[in-house]
Amino acid sequence: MKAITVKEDNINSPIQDCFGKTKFFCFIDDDSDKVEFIPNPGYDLLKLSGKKAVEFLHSKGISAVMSGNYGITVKKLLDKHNIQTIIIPSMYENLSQLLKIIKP
Amino acid sequence: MARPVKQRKILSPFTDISLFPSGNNKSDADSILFLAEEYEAIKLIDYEGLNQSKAAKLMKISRPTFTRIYKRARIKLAASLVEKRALKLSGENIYYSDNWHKCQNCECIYNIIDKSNSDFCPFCKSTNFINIANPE
Repeated sequence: MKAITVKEDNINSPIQDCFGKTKFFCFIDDDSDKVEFIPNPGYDLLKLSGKKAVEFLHSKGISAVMSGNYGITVKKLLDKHNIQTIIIPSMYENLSQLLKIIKP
Repeated sequence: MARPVKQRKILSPFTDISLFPSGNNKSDADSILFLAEEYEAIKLIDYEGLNQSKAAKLMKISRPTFTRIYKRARIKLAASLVEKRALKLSGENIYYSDNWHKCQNCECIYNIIDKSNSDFCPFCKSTNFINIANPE
């Protein structure tokens, strides 16, 4: 399963560039086209929101995360949990553009 | 003979771009060359909020060297702001600690964790990708 950082919980939502400060994660199933929006438990935290988000994603069994930018702590934790890091280029503005290109 | 330019370690993928002030009519020759190591120093200190010794350890350089790079970066940033000159980011003489790959089809950048599925892009499943960490 993959997780994309998004600003709103709908299919036309803009992509969130900062991993830890994202409001929602969009979970994409590897075998089907099923899309699910889950709120980020670390959104309201002032500090270490990225750490909380990575631990949450690890517990959900996510294999790859997609975002615009990752902090140093987040990148270290992702490597520790063997989660693949994908950086979305800035030419993709919203989720529906991304979903057209992504292949299961 | 002058000492050759050292390779600097950069943590996350770096893209060569130019930052132009809005309404800038000056020629390209007037722009300031902003090195990847200077960008990384500004990012680690001012964006990530690390202290200089921690940042120097991450970049695998000594603390005084880091201070020199950071000082040079701030001078260039200030000159760009005050004189309204463009910043030209240059990604030469750098290396990455992680095995970053770039897909030529969808332009996304990814690292490879599992070697068994490393022969295609995880995003668009294209086989047209390049290794940006160790280009051959």
